[in-house]
Amino acid sequence: MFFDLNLPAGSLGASEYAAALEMQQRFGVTVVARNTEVKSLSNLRDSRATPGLAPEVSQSDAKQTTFRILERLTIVLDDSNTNLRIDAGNQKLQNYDVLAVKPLTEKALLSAVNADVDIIQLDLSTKLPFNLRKTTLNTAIQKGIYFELSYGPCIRDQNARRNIISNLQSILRVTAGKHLVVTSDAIRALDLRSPHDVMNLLQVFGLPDKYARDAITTSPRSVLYHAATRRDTLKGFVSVEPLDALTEGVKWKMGDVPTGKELEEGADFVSFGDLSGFE
Amino acid sequence: MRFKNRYLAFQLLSRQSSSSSSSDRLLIHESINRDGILKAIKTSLEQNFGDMAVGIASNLSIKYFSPMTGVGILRVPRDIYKECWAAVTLVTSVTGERGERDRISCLLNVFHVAGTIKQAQINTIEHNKSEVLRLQDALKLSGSAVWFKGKGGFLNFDT
Repeated sequence: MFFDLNLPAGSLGASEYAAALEMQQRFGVTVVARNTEVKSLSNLRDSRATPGLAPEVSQSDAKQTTFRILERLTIVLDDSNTNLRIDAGNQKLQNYDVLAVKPLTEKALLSAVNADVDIIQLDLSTKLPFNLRKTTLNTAIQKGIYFELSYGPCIRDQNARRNIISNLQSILRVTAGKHLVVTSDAIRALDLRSPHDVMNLLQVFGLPDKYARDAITTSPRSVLYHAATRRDTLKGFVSVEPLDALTEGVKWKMGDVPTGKELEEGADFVSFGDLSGFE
Repeated sequence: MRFKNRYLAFQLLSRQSSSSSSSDRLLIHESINRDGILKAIKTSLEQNFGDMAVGIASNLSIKYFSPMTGVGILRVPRDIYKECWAAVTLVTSVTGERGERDRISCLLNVFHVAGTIKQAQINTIEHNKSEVLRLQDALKLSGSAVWFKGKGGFLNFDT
């Protein structure tokens, strides 16, 4: 199961976006995230664009191979807007499946590692204006935040390719390749590459084989788990959901609770999130 | 010991501009030939890995290429097959029959790496089969014609 958590719908345009989706399906990518990039939180929409497509924390139909499109929000952070409220209390952010920040300065990176997000997207296609410190990145890693590397720019542009390789080396020095997700960030459908091609490319660039594979399979899945935990649970360990959201396999959790008409409309039942579903 | 190779089975994917009517999907440009692809791969290899890689991979050659399906087999030396694969991945355009004047943007997708040309051939045939099935499915869904355009004219899969 392969993931691509960054398909910028805005810069792709409608026809290229459709072609990109077709291309991803051909390559065997099963989950893509449609990315929206914003600088402020003021004009975010209030409702979900694609309801029900997000991976729920407690759905245990394990063999789900249908193609899914998620919604991702990327907040660009620089020195001027580091005091944005990015936390679980902000209801508007709950409308997105994946939440990412893109810090442009060192100060912004420091506030990003402490924010309640899933992905930190560093602009690796340019020369980073600051050094990546081990303590900073480790704070993020301990919170379960992943770092993003986009291969799109390195297909498009030779200079970007050089910068990405050099920045990847400095990330490797700090994290040894762990906690990395690789996404496309394609602006044309032909910028996309198949997952196996991407894995080989990363290996040639110096990422250890195991982590190259993880970066497009298990790591993005962890990101989705992290996102679901942030979104749907209270403090990360209790989730509340309606009874009819439970599938047959997990009905036993209800115990002897009366079902159907005996229950009042909209009654909820508290269950512990079943995390085995998303494989 | 004999010289060992790897055979990369690849598929060229390109997207035509919307000049042709949207109901007919042209898959592969008729003027793409194996020389153009080989040149693009060698240029990419030199750009990304330098003269040394080009020197080691001097026996780089395309063993098979079908302009109908865009599927081909590339022979690379085993020692640096990963670098060659990366060079193939980083190709963004190939030149057609008229040289620089028709440059077609495309991507090359490696779908199998084989140790012998026999295995590469088996997998290429397998891949072609699934590709035709996929096209027929798309055809049934959209209800429109899918065209392969090649040197021999059009090949039309009717519903």
